[in-house]
Amino acid sequence: MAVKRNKDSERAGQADAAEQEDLKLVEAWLQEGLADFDGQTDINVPSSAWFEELALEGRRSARRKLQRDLAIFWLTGGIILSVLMLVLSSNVIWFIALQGLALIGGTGFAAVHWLRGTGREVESRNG
Amino acid sequence: MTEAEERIWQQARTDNKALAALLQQHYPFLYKYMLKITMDRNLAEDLVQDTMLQAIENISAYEGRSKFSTWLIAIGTRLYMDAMRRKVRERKHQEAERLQALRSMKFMSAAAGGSWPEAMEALAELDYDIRVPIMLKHYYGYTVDEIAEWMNIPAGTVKSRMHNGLKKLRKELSANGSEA
Repeated sequence: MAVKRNKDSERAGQADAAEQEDLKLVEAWLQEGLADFDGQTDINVPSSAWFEELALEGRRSARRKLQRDLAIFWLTGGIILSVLMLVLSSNVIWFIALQGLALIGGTGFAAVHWLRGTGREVESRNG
Repeated sequence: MTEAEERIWQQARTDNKALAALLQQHYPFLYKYMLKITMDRNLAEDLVQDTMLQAIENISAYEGRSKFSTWLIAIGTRLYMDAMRRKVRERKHQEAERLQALRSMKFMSAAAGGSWPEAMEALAELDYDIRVPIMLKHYYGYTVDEIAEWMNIPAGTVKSRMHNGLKKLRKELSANGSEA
């Protein structure tokens, strides 16, 4: 029984070694072919002026997005604060309930997000 | 990152000319990467430009922890994966388009006086979500975790896709070997 187990594990070891050898061959073939392709591919690199124009356009677009996001943020914040002030002035209990809901919702969201991140990390460690 | 590279990157965060020079320096590397993963010259050109624009918009988020080329590859890979997921949903004449794009790439190689490597032919036959991790790992040398993050899939999925892809490539290599 022990002899059969030894022969089985020896065969498995040989199969692993053969697979590793195969993998090295495939990798070498890939690297040669891709390096060939890279070497023979001529790229027309645009001029510095083109890249400067692109950089300018990119920064303008980033500024516009930031201004738009800030506007949405302040508008949403203003609406939420107004609603909260309205609720506070009419019914304190409702106000506390709303704050409690927001706290639970925020904590729940953060917990789910953290768990998803931990799950991915564990999976990556276990392979 | 070397001191000189760090200086250039710090300058690029605020100075347009420095940023433009940095992008111009990395343009060939990025373009060749995009050509290889997309196997589609037109798509590669669009994605290179989109990648550069995203890099410019988010330059303040680049902290210099990895090489600038790695950061560009990460952005480019995500954009390509998003584009392909949209294409799959649209399902518009995909196979015919893919073959047309591939013919154009081969013509481009021939026109430049080069040849179309067998490895490229074999990679072109793989699905895009198998081709990308194989190239990133076995040609560019990135880790499975990095690839998983850029493709937004678990590391286990990356490993299994690579395993399946390499099996197919092994068969191709044996077939080419026996023909020769």
